[in-house]
Amino acid sequence: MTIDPGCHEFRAHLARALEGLPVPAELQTLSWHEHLLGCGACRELLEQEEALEVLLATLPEPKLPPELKRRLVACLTHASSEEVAATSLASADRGLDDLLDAAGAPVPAGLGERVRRGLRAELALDALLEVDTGVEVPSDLGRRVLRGLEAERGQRARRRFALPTYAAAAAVLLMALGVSLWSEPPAEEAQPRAVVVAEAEDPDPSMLAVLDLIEDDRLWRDYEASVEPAEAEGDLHLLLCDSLEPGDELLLSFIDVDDSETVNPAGG
Amino acid sequence: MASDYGRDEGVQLMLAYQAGDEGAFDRLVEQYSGQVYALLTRFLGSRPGREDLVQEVFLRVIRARDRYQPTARFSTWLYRIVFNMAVNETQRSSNRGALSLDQPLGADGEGGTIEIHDSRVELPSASLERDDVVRAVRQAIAALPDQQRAALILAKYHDTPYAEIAEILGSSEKAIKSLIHRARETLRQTLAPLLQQGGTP
Repeated sequence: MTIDPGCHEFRAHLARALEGLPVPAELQTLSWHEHLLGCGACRELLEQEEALEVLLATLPEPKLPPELKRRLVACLTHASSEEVAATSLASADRGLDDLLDAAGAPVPAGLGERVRRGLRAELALDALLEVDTGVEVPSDLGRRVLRGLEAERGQRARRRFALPTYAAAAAVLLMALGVSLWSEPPAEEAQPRAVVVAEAEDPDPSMLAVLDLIEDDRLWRDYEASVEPAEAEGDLHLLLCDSLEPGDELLLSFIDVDDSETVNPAGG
Repeated sequence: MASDYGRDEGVQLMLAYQAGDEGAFDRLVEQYSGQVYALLTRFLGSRPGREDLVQEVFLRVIRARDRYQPTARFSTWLYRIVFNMAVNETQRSSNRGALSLDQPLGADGEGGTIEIHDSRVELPSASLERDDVVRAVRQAIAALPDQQRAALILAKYHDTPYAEIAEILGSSEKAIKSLIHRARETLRQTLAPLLQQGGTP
């Protein structure tokens, strides 16, 4: 009998899903449904499995009475630690009979025999599997593996240490530069540079005149800032008179003043 | 995380290697290469080139050096690499043709090919020498599906707890129990003639 490849694939996925194994992503989408649309047998199978899962989920967790569990574990542990031989099997059988009797619960007919058969089969399979005692590992395997990996390790080590090496070199260079800058004698800081101003023996008269004007202007601005505007205008002449020497008639003659009385500080 | 597995010697060595201790990697190879070889042999059969595969496993360890995090025992982490590689190798082999495992057993008790075209192993009919039994058992195990085979081998021959097998195979403990149960069921059927004859020479 041949099986449709679609059914085969579907059932393989289903088996994996039932075992709780990772299922391919496409299973969640179309491939399942596409196949189910055209295959009644697989649809029915899925329904049955889903129904079974629901039913199983409703069953309570089976629990052995504590004493029975303890004795069963002791019995099985003892049996599996023995060589598989008639004696140990017989011993296990006796142990099983004892504990089933001790359980006191009604035991279904033939249960003991079925358990014994199952136990015997498990032990026999274990014994058979254990004939294959071990894999002989070639001597010197580790060293040969390491030798084979030398090139890769060397390459990786170079790559691994390249960046730190460059970083360290850069740090050293920066440090050296810093040290060299720091160690230069701070001669200029120790002796502040003196500002040398050439002194003229005779100041230029025109320059002095300009300086006077600037000074007057500054005085005027200071005054203007310190008084109200109206007051400032009225006191202008008084200020000028205060700042002039009695011999500055020439300068006074150029100033337009309304109140001549206030202009003459000599007051005469 | 690290504290959970910090006492595991393999984890300690791997962390030391990660921190720059090249000698730690040498010790890892010395300590685990035999187990890796045995696992690969049981999983893939005695095909040539298994040493190259062991080397490939440790090459992956080297490549994982910087991003390694001790989230499991080292052997669990390593076996996961082995398992993934073995599955890839199986797929490559099946693409090349039938998995061939029944060469005559060598002096080391290994070797051999089996053309896996039947779930029932062709059992030696006359005398059941130990090598024949070993070969038959290996054939039967080799014929199991990948996950069942890996779960059975790890549990039976490497004494790996179910929880760790689940981590290695990316599954749950419950699923592992189911896998092992199914594997044993299959083996009981496949090896039934040997079991009936006593099996142990």
